[in-house]
Amino acid sequence: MTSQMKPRIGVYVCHCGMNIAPKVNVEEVVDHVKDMPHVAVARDYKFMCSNPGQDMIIKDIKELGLNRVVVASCSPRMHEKTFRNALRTAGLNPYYFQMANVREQASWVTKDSIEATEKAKALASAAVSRVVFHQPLLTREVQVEKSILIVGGGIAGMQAALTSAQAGYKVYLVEREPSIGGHMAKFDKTFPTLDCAACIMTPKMVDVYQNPNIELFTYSEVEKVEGFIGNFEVTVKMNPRYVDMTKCTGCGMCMEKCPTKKIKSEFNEGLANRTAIYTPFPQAVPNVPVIDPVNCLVLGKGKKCGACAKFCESNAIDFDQKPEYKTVKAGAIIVATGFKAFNPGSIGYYGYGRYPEVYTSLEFERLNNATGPTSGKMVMKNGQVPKRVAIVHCVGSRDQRYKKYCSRVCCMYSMKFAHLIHEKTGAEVWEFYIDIRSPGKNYEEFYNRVQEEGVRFVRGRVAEITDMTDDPKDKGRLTVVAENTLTRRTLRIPVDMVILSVGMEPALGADNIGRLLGVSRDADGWFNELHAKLAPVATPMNGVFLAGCCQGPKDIPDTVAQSMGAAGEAIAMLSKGFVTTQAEISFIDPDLCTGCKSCIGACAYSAIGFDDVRKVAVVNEALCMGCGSCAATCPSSAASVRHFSDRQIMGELEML
Amino acid sequence: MKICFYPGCSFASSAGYKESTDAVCRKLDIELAEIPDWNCCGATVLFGENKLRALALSARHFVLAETMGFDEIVTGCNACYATLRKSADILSEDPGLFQQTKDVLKIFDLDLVAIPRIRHLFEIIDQAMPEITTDKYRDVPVAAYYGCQLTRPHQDLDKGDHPSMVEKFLEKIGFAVTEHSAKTACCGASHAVIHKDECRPLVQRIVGEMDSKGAKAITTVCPLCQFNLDQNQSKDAGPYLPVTYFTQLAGLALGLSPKELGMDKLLVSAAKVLTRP
Repeated sequence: MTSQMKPRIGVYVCHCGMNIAPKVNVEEVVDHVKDMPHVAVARDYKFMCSNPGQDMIIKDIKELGLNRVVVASCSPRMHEKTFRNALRTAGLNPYYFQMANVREQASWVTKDSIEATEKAKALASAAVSRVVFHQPLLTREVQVEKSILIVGGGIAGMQAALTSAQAGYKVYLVEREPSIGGHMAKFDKTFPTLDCAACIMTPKMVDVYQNPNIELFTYSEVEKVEGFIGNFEVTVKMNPRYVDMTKCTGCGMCMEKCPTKKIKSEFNEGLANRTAIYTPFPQAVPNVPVIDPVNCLVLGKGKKCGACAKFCESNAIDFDQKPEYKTVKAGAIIVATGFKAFNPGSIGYYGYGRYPEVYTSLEFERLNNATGPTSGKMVMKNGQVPKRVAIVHCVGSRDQRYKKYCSRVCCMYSMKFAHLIHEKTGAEVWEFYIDIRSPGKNYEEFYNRVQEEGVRFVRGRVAEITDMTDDPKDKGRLTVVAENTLTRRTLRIPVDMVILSVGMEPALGADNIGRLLGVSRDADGWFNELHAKLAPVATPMNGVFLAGCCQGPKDIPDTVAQSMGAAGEAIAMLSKGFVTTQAEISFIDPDLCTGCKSCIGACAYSAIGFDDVRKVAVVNEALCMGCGSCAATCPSSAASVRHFSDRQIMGELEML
Repeated sequence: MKICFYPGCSFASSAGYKESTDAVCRKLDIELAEIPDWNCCGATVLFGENKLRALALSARHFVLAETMGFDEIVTGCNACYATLRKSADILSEDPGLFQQTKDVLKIFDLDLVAIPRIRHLFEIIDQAMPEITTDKYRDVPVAAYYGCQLTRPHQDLDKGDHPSMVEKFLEKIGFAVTEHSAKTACCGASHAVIHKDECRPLVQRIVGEMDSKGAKAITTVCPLCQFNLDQNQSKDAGPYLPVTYFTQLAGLALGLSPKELGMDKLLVSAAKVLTRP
């Protein structure tokens, strides 16, 4: 069937149960379009997407000789594929189809029934007018690389790596810190089951390290990403550790001998010190130290020290190491860059940084951790055990001035803290909250348990934390000022220690990863998933998937589930061995192209090259996403996007 | 230097603010050109009562200042400062209210055209004061009290809740500094007059905090702050820290006498702490 044949259009108006029909008078829409030029048949039906609905289209194509189809129903994002497949089944090119969205754009958003019906008529007739000009288009199949690159080695990246490797795929796991493990490695217990985080984490870290399918790049960053779905070429920059990984035995002698011992440990949130040559924590994977080039006497200060090299029995220290670059091929990419904790220093009235006994939740995780600065003893900086501890919820979260969103994990970890403090020290714990959010499995039960343990819950945002006291006997303590909004009374509670339950922000450098991969971010900086409900791990960039907190705040169970989902999606995409490219891509007419190269600069996907022989711009069909920037930029109208030709768009506009 | 000065209602009658400001400005070659026939700024309360009236009260000064040839207005009171700035912000951002205010002022033959920059006297004196290198007052630890309206809501002069600019000023002019946590705590403001019993504990908390951190004197940048902190101590039990204006300390540093600086008007005497042979 070719486009030269006289168009015979079938129009189908869907009731979508009660979603479209009562608001939009579907019979009226059918009447409106049935006499339009080229319309051979127009019908309405309760559910066009159902099997009988699709069969109706297929039957009409065959029996009535239709060569164009319009369905007026929901968004094309919902069912365009469904109806295109119906056309294909009937032997028609699937691009002879046009969808009119009379649900999201008419019935759902219009109050007045008559107005909604008029809108639906306009949208349906515009689709009819457009489909006349449709051309048959072909998709292509491209071979894929059966490997997956994962950015970020926290629990999200590790889980995605393990799942992918289990399915037999080659995995490249890139982590910028010296060890994998991410934030979870810093935690002591996990809510609501109070599992020991290390007990469930460290075996996974070892699994990642030992899995023959996983190639681990620690202390490394993604430098460059080229290629496209199924065929990415990623350049990884391996920062110099100044320690030869092949020689180091992890004996730790270098760290013992390093004279520069008073550097604040990042892993311990600055509450303990580390040496200049260090592993972030004893269970680090790989167990190979790095030298911090800023604080090392040799590298940073140009002095003659070399104590580490002197005492290293395996000659692993190499002060002359340079960054190394390695390019790997990957069929899919999973982004798992995680989060960073909100810095409460900007909230002046909480006194963080001014009062030593005001901690962030991450600091408190370390304080509570057996491998932390106090070996897990819950003590204040003066060594004493606190008698009363306040936990302030929603620090940086749910606040118009900082982050509007709820960080989702803080209520639960705050209650975990309360339980642990109570258990370890017997101290009185006060939780200051806005609302308690405990919507996970066994979370509410944990909330109840903590309440029963005698933790005091005050509904009220803390106004101030101060060392000003009204009673001289409270001198040296902190006072938490808040309104109990349930009793409408202002409270001034003297405490020994305050924990600020800080929210989550996108990890530093997420913007750069987003740019490299072409994955957009929302207003808060989290990566955008393809669809909030139906495609939560895919991204608008084909072949790039999301796992964990980089897409939005999540707790560990949700992160692990999403990571497995991302790995599953990547595997599903790669398992066939090929991917189908989209047909709605740009085409540059070489006869019209003047070689001005404007389109090359306008293309966000680097999909346009230049043919130096013919002096014209050429579209790489595998890379093109069909965004149309080139068509809008081209001064000589040489560039156009298939399925979005001027004639098609003008045809549609004429009826609107 | 000549500045356009808006004194506000409590400047002249407060405990030496006017005397010390005049004396220090003479010494620093700053000429205070007072806005003629100035009126009440409406303080913080009028905005809640009648926004347009509040705007017109402030904006009248904007016109008067412009007629004098100034594009800045300086005031020494935190409430005046906050009110004038609030008006200036609203009038710059809301063309509708600007027009309405303009129409109101037209009745009085005043033409509102430009919005001046509002500055606090502290900024001017801080900039003009030379560094004092003598150690005459280095043994006097002073606690700075900013009050609530100088750094909030505008946080461009300093950090909103825990500022440090007055401390830097004190160090520069030769005093010791007491770091404390009551810099922007509430003193009760004008409620101290009507709701004495409720406000006294607030002041006690502030001066108690300063005392417990080792202060021997307090300095303020606002007449109402000074009044509240001073009079509540003089009536109650202690801690009897003299509550000075920053201009008085600047005057002492410049070698002026306490008498010239109106310090005899302070309710808690500063003589013991600040008199030098």
